[in-house]
Amino acid sequence: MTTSTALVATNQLQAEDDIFSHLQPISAFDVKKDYIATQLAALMSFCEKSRSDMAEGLGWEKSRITRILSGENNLTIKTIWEFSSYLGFDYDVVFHSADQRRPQQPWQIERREIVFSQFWNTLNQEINLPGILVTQAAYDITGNLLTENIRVGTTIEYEAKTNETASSFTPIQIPIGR
Amino acid sequence: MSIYFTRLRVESPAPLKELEDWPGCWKVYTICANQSKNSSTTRKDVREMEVADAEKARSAYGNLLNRAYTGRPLETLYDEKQCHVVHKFDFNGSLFKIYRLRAGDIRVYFCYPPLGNKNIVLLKTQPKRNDNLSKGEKRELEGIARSVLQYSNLKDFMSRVI
Repeated sequence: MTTSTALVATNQLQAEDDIFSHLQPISAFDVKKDYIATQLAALMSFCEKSRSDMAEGLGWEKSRITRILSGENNLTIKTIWEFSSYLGFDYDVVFHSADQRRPQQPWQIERREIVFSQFWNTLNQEINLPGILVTQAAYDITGNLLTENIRVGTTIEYEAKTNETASSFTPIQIPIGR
Repeated sequence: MSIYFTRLRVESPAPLKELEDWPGCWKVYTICANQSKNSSTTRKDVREMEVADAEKARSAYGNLLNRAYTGRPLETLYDEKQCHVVHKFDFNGSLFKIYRLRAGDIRVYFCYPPLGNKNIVLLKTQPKRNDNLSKGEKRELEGIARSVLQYSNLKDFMSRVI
């Protein structure tokens, strides 16, 4: 990575964690370029497409796919659009500060649904209560699972949806993907 | 040989957001010779490099951490030339694989400990202009991997994380 647009690092690591303290600060823009390319690679992976599939489908040289996914190029909006729309996905530009959660990506959402499904099956086996209600409101606005808000009773509700705090419900923790 | 593990970290310059763990992400560890993070073998590898190579190594680690964060199978995020198996050996009756990540002249060797968790352990990083590994180099990597595998039980592994 070049350091042409290097910014002063404020998210500094503790000295013992920073094995690169003897180097010039890394460029935030270069890190972001790689991050964006990584998201495209992950979307491709999520859609079970190979680089060859993408090249063939988009009518591009495979070397172009390699360059796009290398993280070294300044990708255009059009390139990202062509890539993502070919895979059947729209994209937005969502701004957030360093202390806000990132929006969830499709592969993270799929993961939470698998995790939730596992939890749900386990719950059914262990408790076997009729009339259990599960909603996806267990996730906050950025898609993160609100484990602390899940309650088990004759119904399962989430405070995020119902704003209910029934005392007969028992809070539980979900073993998420460990 | 008793070893410890610590998470690999690369600084995120402001205003970038740090990569925060989520349940499906890969977690990348480096090996430490003792209970000090300063004893990280990755630190030693990097400090022994020339500055230009160390910068490439930092880029390769950042690239790896970004990809690890997605939680997707790493081999689907790199092409075969960039990330591939370089050595296999028998461990408890099955073949254990050591992988190599190529980033320019930098080679990062790593493995997936059989922990039932999404962990990656870096074994060695070095500038290398020649892709062929000698028998001695394979033996060295295997030795490092075996030192990791003595903690192949997740509880044992986590007890060594500093």
